[in-house]
Amino acid sequence: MDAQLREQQIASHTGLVHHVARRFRGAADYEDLVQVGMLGLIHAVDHFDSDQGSSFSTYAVPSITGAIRHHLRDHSTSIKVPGRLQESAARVSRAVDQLTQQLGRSPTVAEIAQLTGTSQDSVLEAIEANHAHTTVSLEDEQSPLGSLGIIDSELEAVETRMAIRQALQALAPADRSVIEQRFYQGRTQSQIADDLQISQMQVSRIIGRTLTQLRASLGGI
Amino acid sequence: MSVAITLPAQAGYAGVLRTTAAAMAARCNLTYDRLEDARLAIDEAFAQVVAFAEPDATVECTFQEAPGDLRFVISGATRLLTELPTDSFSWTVLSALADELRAEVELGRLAIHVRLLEPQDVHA
Repeated sequence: MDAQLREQQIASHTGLVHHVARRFRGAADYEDLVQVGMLGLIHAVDHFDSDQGSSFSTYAVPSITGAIRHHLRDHSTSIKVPGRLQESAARVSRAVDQLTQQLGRSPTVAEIAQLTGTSQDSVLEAIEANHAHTTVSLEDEQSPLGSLGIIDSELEAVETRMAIRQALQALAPADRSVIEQRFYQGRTQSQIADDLQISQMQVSRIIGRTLTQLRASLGGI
Repeated sequence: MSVAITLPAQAGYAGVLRTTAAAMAARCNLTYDRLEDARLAIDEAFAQVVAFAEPDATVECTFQEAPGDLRFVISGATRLLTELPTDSFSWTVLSALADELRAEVELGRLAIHVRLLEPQDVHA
């Protein structure tokens, strides 16, 4: 692509960067977010292949979102969960795995409460705490594609599938594998945990975090 | 028994629903596996309603509680004129989580019906 055309492409899509950056406002300095997002846009301009059939916006949004997210991951401190809750989350996590082994099935909240010697409410509190640092920071995002009206006008079924495949490809391989097993192969969280030799609460966390990430990069589709 | 919540169609309120869904799942005596599924399903269904919501819309969520059987309906005023797209990733996720799943657009409202059943024979 000649340099002038490239400049033009970049300039005419800076609005897209602002759209995405706005969703993360509050998470970091806005100007920083725009700057990082611009790198994502430039990457998209340089790698976009119009013969693939998807629109440039569909291609660029995940790239911009990815760049910003990467920046935030490198520069953010995770949300602090009080020590008391952390401990009870760890206790509940152990109880879940122990009971799954014993019973040969996933335990109920009542059973977890009984084993840990706490109330059902405390168990629920611990389950929320387990997810606390994975969801909060991404909560207030709006769908960029939706707000641009792209969903209605541009996205055809083929593009949707492509965008989904692209977004899945962009995940870390371990995260992608968990998502594929749970949602495309219909395996349960406890089965996945057993396979990977990690706690089921860890699997829950990975799924919750990854879905939030996918939703942001897919923007409602 | 049924429980109903009305909340703004803003992604930031998803946490309220997740917490409620977990508590309702516990009331239905669902296993931890299903409880986590309920949290994810409500998150996903709410995100869909929000993604297609009219500006300033409110979202209504009603839970129906029964032993080993949790049902909820999320609905709100929608920009959708026809049906909710079912080739989305969200819908794939919802289909994997729910035992029964249905979306309808009627009189300018999108409603997503979700049902989660406990397959395990749980004696509590």
